[in-house]
Amino acid sequence: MNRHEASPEDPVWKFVALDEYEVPKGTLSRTAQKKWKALIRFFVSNAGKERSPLKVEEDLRSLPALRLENLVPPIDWEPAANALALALESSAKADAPPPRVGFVVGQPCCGHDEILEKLAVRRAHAIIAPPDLETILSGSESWLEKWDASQPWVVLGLERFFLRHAQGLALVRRLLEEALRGSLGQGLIGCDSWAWAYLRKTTSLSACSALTLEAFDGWRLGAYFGQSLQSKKSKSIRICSARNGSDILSSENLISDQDDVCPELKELAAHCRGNIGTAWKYWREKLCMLSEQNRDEKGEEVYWLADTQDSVLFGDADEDEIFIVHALLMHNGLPIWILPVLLPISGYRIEAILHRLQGQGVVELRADRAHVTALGYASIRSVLRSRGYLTDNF
Amino acid sequence: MNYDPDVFGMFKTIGSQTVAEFALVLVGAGILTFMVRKMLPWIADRLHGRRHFVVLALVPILRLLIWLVALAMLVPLIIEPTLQNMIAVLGAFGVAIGFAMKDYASSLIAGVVSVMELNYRPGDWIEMNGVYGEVVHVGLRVVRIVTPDDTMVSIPHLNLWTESVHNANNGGPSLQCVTNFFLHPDHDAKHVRQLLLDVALSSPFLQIEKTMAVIVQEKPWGTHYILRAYPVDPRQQFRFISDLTARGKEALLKAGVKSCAIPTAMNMS
Repeated sequence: MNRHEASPEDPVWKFVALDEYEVPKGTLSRTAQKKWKALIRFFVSNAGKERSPLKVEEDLRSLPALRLENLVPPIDWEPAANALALALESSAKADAPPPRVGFVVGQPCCGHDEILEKLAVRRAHAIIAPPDLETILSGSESWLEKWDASQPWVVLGLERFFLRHAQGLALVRRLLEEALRGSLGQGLIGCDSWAWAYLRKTTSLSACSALTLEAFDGWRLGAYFGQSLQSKKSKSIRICSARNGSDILSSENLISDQDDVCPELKELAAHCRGNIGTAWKYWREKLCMLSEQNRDEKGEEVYWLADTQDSVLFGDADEDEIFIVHALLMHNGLPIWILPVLLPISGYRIEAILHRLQGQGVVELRADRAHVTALGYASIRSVLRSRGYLTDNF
Repeated sequence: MNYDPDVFGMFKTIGSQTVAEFALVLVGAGILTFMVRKMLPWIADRLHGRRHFVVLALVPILRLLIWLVALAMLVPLIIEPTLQNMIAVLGAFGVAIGFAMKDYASSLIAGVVSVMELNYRPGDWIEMNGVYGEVVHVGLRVVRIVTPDDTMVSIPHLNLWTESVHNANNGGPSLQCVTNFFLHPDHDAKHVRQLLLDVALSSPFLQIEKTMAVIVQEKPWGTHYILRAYPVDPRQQFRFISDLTARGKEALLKAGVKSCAIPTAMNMS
């Protein structure tokens, strides 16, 4: 049995109301350091240099893929599904009568669709597949007529039910109207945080409340990564800071108190704004070792965590690049062919820009859809926010 | 001819040290002004939103301050700064300018007034003397505007006394764009109104936090729709209007709404 399943009230995973989400704060000294670096970059910028990946500390080596897979396995969303089930139960008890439709909002890379899928399978609820893009663009609402309202249902990602296009909103508006009116029966709707921000401005969602995964602060990150280390029972593993050599985590001594959280974990949490998906990616990316023989005098395996800084930067992006990544975030990834339909940019130019952004690690292709990368997300979000574009509420 | 010896008495004896100090102040003020003119727009270009406009607006204010300080340092170098002397010199200077360079002096004063009243700042989109464009420089005598077809127009500040100034964004990032649609009258106006709002919502240029509006006016030749919305950055205004027009035409065509087919030179207002 998965160790998370044994603990349905795993304190690491918790769902809270959207307006209760608190972005973790970093340490004062590191915040000042980051601001200073940003100021230096502001005056001494070199577009080519700035947007190429930064060097990892020279003595450190990346971990082999297999070892990395063992140390930092892919996120298991099962305990998150448990936590969501608990949150839904308690909100159903609190609300009288309980709402016909509930909403779950997730940040990019935070697995809201996986969590909802696990919950739907467990509860034998129908999973509603999104319409194809042509159906959305046709503006036809006949797709909704096939809806089976007799059994509970789950929409994994509302971001797949609309397009930012003059004809791309009719279907989602009708769907939400019907769902909120209760004519579609009982259901649960998952939505990406960027799509949520846009749909709140364009549909009847503005007054709806939602649940979201609580921010992963330094303590939660320590507990989560510590659990992964502890699952390797045969070995004793220690993770140290490559910056100052201090201990970050140890499989022998897990973080039990908020006061024991090291600044590195606090920084990681603040940098990722509590987003477990991007924090997991940074953790994997920054975990290094000195040599194959990486044991200390006590026989512990020692790994090093390089400094948390953006290896993918997006600071000097032009307007077309901004539009492309914004559209990708808004829809949680898009097929490339649809981008010229949504944006005032020609197809050949979009191809060229995507190729460039892929090279810089800002965008990646997964199953024929272009997505913003987890490592590029923090930088992209910060640029979009500073330039006045719509961002999510996290 | 008799000269009053006191007129010459108010000037100091100008030696080589005074000349050097005079030159030093002038060169220093020139260098500072040059740096302000080059550095602040460079910094502003790297900022976005309100901060961009605040930094740009500082340029003329700092230049004025630099020259006022320089003047305050220069005058005591050549004149004994008593009240009597200052009145005499400034009076003579004023009479000379009043006769010989009236318009020039008026422009200079209007330039100072424009800096104080903030009628226009670098980064603003203004219409003055029938010319619309972005203010790129507020000088002592003229304001320089770059029009959308990339022509630099210099307009003396003097016009401030008699002309009205239309400032579209007034030192901020909010600039309303107006897109017109002229349609055949036979259509469902409610549907078209919503469609045009969706057209604006679908544009990546849109500043979604600002209010949008569609105004409908029935005219003898058809129906006039005015879509009002704000782009994220005022510099995007023409691309925004083009995008709204292209999207609007596409959406209206798909909805089976025809454009007004009658060529007309009527006043659209």
